[in-house]
Amino acid sequence: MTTIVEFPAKESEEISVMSKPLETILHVDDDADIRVIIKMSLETVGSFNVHQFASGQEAVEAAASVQPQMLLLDMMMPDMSGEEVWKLITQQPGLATVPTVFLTAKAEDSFSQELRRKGAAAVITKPVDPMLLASQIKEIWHKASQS
Amino acid sequence: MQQTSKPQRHASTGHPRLDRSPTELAFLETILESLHDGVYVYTSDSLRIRYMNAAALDRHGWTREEAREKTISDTAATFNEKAFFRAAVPLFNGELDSITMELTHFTGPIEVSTRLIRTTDEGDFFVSVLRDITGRKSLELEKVQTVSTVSHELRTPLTSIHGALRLLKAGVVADLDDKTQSVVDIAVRNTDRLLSIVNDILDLEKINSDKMDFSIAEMDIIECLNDTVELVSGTAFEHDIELEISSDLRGAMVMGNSDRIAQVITNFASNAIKYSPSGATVRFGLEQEDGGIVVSVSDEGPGITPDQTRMLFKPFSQARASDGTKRPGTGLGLAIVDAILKRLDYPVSFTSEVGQGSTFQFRIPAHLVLWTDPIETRGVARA
Repeated sequence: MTTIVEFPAKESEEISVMSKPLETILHVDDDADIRVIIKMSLETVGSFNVHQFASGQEAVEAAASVQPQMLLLDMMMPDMSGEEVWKLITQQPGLATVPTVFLTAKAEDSFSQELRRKGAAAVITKPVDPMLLASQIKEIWHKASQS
Repeated sequence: MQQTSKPQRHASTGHPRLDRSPTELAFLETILESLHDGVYVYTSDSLRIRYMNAAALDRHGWTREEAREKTISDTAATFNEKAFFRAAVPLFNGELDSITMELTHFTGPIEVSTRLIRTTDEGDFFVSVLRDITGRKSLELEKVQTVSTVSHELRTPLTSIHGALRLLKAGVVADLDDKTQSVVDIAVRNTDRLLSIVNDILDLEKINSDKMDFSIAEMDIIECLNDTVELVSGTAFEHDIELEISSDLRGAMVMGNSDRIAQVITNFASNAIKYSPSGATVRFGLEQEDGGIVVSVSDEGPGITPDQTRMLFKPFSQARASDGTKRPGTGLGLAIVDAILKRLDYPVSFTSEVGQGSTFQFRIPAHLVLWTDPIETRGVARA
């Protein structure tokens, strides 16, 4: 049921960041229930270290100390959109090319294409299958590392 | 007039005859003149207008005398005589009593019902009744938009329920005993069903509001068919249905949108599986025909009665099987298929025999076929 649109990663000057295995993911979603499911999926099924935030603002403030290897962002949030969070985090030192995956219920194709044009690593359409998410994330990381 | 939908055909009940008294005819003409619907009577050979009622004359701004000098082709710049006569064949051979089409006129959406009237002294005439369906169409759109808004709201909590159940079912949260597992299975199955309903509604809304991608690119139609069959094989297995693919092509590249084509084949396949009895075979065909490629899905289901065909591609309509039972689903699948194939400009058609089964197919037109590699012996594969 989940649709994934994968995109090539941005030209990277910090490609060495992606040459090591994926461990730390920064996840932002305003829905508490979704956060529980994503955390369980990525930590229990995928053994990743997931730092979660309920708002874009909190995530932007904490990003420098978390130093995530990947951003997993809900697109539609009340305080700021996932795209704005992406922009503000990737403006920070050392995070300019962090691969970013968007989670969205808004499955308009044009919307996904626009994010591709802007350099997103992938767009995953909700509902996410928590048993498959970890492997999807690994696959996206692998592709981003190769590009 | 630009045709926007397949003609809806009604079964023949014989041709009406004009053998009434002059008084009665005058009375009927008074009624005709007061109708809101436009009435056009024109000769069946030259299409010369014999009569238009007041509503029809108003629509074109013609006087009665001007109308007499015109043919039905003059009613719309896009009128295609060849296509008209092709569509009218079932009226001539008595196979059908009337043909109804939805068209886009410059004044908005209209519905035109045409019958053939045979008279002994004046020859044969077509009678077309034109109805403005702007109100009906806008209500239909409103209905889809309302349901779509509700669906969006449903999808967020459903995502959480679906995710939680998937983790529970997979044993990530805790080990489940058999009884608990079976209850969780029911919940998972029904959440999947709800999600697919919500997705169907959202898809239809995406198409209607031009938010779906219909861009076409070079694609391998055989690979697309094989991948789609693979995708539905799990559902087929659950229903004890065998899948068979046959093709007279080894390779075929076409211009198309693989996501949309896969969506169409999945819809056909899902219906075929849903309506087939346990143990039956659903056949997928891919054949070259007059330079084009026909992709078909055939089932051994109960078939579709002529009454049911009229509503087949309409949103929220679903045929009951011959045993009177309704299959799970929204009745949106074929409406989605119809909308997609129209946008891709691939003609869709179906044949059905009650008690024998149905075949749904679409045709990739010759000008969108890039190359094909035919095989001498037709290949059959079982999925």
